[in-house]
Amino acid sequence: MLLIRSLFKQVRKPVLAYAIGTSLYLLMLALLYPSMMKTGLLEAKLQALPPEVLKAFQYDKVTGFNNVLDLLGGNYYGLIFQVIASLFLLSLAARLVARPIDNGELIVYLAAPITRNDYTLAVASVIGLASLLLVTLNGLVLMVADWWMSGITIDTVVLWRIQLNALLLLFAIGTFTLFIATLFDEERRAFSLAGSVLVLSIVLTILSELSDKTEWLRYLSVFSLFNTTQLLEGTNHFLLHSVILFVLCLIFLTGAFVQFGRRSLSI
Amino acid sequence: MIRLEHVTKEFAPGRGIFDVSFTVDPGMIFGFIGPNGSGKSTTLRHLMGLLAADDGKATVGGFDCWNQSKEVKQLVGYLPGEISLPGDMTGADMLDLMQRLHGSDPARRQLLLKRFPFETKTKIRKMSKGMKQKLALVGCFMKDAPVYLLDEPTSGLDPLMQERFLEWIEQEKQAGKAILMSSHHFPEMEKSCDRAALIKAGRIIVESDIHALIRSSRKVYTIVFQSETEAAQFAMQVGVEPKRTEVSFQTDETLTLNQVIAFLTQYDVRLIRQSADDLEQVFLHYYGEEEPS
Repeated sequence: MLLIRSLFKQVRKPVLAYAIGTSLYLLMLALLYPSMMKTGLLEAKLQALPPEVLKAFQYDKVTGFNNVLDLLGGNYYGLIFQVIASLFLLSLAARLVARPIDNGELIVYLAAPITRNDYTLAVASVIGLASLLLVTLNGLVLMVADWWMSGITIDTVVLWRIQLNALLLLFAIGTFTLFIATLFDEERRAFSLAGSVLVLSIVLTILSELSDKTEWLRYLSVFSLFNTTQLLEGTNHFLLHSVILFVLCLIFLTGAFVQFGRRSLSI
Repeated sequence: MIRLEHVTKEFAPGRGIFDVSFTVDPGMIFGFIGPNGSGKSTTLRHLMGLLAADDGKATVGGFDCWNQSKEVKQLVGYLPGEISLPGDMTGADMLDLMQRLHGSDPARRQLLLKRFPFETKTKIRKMSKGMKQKLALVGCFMKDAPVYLLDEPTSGLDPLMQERFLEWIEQEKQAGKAILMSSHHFPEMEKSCDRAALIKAGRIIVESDIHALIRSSRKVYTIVFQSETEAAQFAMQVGVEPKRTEVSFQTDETLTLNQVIAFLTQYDVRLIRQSADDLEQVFLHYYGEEEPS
């Protein structure tokens, strides 16, 4: 517990910045939603864009926004969330593992009676807690907006289903970045490899939506396991996706434990 | 207490440590001497469970340093050679963290801060090398451990602090602690160590009682005479070339210091000086002469 508290203290500021920043963005969209719907400007602008582009950004629904979640599906839980999740978890793994290995600060912890497994578990817990904080604050802000504002209709079950799916996605990416961070002595190399894989995943998701011929590419991207449009339509394989994300978490976490436990550290 | 048995770790062909063995008993300060890159820090990292040996075994208090690193680290206070600490933390924050992680004694912390004082409210990134070294020393020794592993412990300390450090480890030795210390600072090694090992290219080349090591060394003296004639005459007696009024020579089994003193009674001697510290001479003897010509 001491280790988790101490590590969380190190990343508290960026975690709060991400959680509060994204939540304020969601709140702003929720507050603007009634006036957007009244003017119809948003729908008109979206209709002017090519359908492939809208699909790529998970903005399928250009008419008939029933509630604010329809708007957020394209405006936050699509590409924006994928980029934010990638940056958020890359920076956490870098701060907690890759950088301390690279600059030798890890010795502060490893000189104490702490095993490598203790440290890996603590880092995984901090990444999990940070992800939980982000999605919980996002969800709570939308619930507060729903309660506070008129004209916003949020289905609580769908909202928290989205948040749970987002949380599992964050866990899977977080354990992946943690695993990659344990592979290298240099922060730059760990960051480059994990970042490249995540950017490629985002590109594959976008490409898979552009035409039927490239649709198969989505199976190569972890982000296809979190599709808000399908979640809102009720066509998403929520349970299956959750199980796959959970299994990915276990695989990467096991990899991180094995790799970090057996590697030599020149710190 | 500290035992290395034929420990080998090869990073690349010819790079690493090879067949390193020695023992440090309780109540002993063991000096580990070698040039940069000779394998001193690598050896200490094995003892801290940071590196896995390809062959051989390292133990502390009977616990295997790789497989039982948690038990080993409960017994050990470690001072790394390169002090890398989170720059955003203050000295006090870092000591608080170390105190909690190691279960260290707050009274010892206060005592150490009086011996090695520095501004604890300063952020680590703003600290000088000496301040960081004092912070690391306090952090290491505030844990009342039976074993200390110290990698270049006086690096960056001023002479006063170096003296205080020697007093401190002497006390710890008297309290029965086993101390393994690597250093290039020969006077402090001579003053403090009971035994020493010299490591070269990853291999221990000599391990001995420190006094025996110094006694066995060939010592270099320089004598300044009143005139060049006297210098030339004396140089002929000891078999070297004079340099104006100065003559430098080594003593060994064939030319003892007593013989030299007997020769010198015939001359007007202005100055006698020993060229370097005894241990440094040992170091130069083992490391300086093998350089390819």
